[in-house]
Amino acid sequence: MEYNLNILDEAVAVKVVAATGRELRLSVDGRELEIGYQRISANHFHLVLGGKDGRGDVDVFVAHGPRGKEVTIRGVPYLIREADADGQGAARKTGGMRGPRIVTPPMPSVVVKILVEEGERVDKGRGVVVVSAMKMETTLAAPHEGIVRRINVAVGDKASPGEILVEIENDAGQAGNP
Amino acid sequence: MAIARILVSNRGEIALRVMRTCREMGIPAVAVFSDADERAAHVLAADQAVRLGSSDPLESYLNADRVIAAARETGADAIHPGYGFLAENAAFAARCGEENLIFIGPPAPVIAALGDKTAARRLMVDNGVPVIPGLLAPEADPDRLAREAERVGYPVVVKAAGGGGGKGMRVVRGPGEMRGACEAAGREAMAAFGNGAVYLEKYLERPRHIEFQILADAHGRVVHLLERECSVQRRHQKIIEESPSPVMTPALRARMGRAAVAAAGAAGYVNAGTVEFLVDREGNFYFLEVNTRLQVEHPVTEMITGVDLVRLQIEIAAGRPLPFSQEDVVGRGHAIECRIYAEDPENGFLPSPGKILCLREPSGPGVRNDCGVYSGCEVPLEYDPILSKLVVHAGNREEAIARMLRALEDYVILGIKTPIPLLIDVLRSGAFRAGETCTDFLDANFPDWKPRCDAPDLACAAWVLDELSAGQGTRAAAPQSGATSPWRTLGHWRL
Repeated sequence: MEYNLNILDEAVAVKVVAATGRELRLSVDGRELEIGYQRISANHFHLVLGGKDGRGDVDVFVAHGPRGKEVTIRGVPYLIREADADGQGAARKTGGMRGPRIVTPPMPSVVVKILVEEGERVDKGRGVVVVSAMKMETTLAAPHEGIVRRINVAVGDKASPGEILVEIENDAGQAGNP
Repeated sequence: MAIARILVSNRGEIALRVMRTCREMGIPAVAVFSDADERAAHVLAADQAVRLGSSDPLESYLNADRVIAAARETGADAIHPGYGFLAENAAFAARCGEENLIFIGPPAPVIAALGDKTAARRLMVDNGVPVIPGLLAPEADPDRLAREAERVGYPVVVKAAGGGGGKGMRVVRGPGEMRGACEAAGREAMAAFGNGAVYLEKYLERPRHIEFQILADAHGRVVHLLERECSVQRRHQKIIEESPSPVMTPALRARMGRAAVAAAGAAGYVNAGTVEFLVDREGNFYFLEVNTRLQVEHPVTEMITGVDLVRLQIEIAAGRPLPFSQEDVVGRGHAIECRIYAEDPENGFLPSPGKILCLREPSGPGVRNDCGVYSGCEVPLEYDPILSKLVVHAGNREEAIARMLRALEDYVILGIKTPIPLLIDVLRSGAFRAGETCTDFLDANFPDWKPRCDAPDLACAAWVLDELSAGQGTRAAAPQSGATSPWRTLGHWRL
């Protein structure tokens, strides 16, 4: 069996060489990995490494999250997905580090203030909506300059990441993703 | 006056923490909950639970009428407010008195005097306790705030006048940021404390945050229970606390302890509280605020002094005298607390509400985890993101760090993001080990932090194992034939 996985935003080719009830041989990007294991519960595997490569036995935990399988090993989390059919790997960054291109909250939140009106012209970076989650307020900024075309939410509405709260049409006449 | 039944007007880990002491004291505990918390851990732990209303805090945990009605309905004669929500609401404390309910906390006028952060600053000035330069009265006008900022010099911090804990607080580095900061701080302050007033202080760069736990009984005795260093913060909220402080000397502890006791005495304090100070590089300390409540980080003090602060709060509220004096307070060993929040440390500490898919708590020698969640529960987006307080106690700081690392590595939370991997890196870092903690510790030492993912191959193995066992129940993977039944594998019982 072969899997194209996406881990830490990198594509990894994983091949199952052999699997018995107690042992697993894998090739991870061409490197062989041979481990013993026990399945302790639906979320819990015990990996037997026996000191190979200086690594001792370790408990690993797995759960199925909305964006892939979540794995944690000694306090460190990994999000692992099967890569898309085209093999590109769904390397979609969430959150605002790179600057979102649409007006959407970075986390599930409640709309507390709308700072613009439909038809208003906004500059890039101008705050358009304030959302709140777990008592923290975040101001969502215009990703580009343009005219506010539509406001899709009202104060008090719940909003999820990916939902476009305010549509801003840029000068080329396109809304959303420029 | 004995207390017969306590209503805990809070949620999450702190409600559970209070209820545990209630149980140990043989006092039945009543929980209250909002719709979002119908199945929350604190509801499951109580002897009785009363629905307050919808998930909006104003309709539930902040709604004094409904909390009082719940106490009436269940026959509770005392209310423990925990921290946050109604804990520092003087009107609520006064209302409890009018309704013949014991408020387990300071008297209403003391909460009012100290909860008004500018009045508290005036009180400290009058009693010779040093304060940070800035306003001694609230100010709503951004232009006047900007003028005061010019006077003390940027950067300044705009803070909620009605409460602390980092809520409703914005650092302003230039006049252009003033208006937005005032509005945001005011709104946050309104949501957190029901009071949108703000004031301004000079923003001290790179100070240490050191606070003293105090206890005062109704018979005039005030003691402090040593310090807690709470310098490692994110967004002005503490994430790691410890005691003793790595920079504390017996002489500085004596001076700050005296100031803390003086501050409490000047205010006529009764019950548990915390006097917070900022300490600069030269060892000068400045009064920051008094928190008139049990603090999140109170277990650090409990670990090194061996007292149960909630038990003492309840006994003080029942009118009993403090059972020890200042000379009896001795710290033993070193304690560290890490706050485990539902948030993404890789992404600006953005809140991460959602369903906890798998939870395994650490345990073992010297480990305490005050946890308010469980496997399968939903972490709602309406409330504070704290999931648990992980606390360790060991013989000295080095051993406590090693113990905390072990506990963090054993802590499994899947389904939502937590700062556990960041905390591991912080505790391993040379700067933390050297005790070089100040309030900009994370920005200075961990800008653009990413988790140290050193075992991606094992993570892939876990993915494959999970894939291969898809559809199997947990039993299917267990060894065949029941050979592990203890009745077959164990030898003779030894009793």
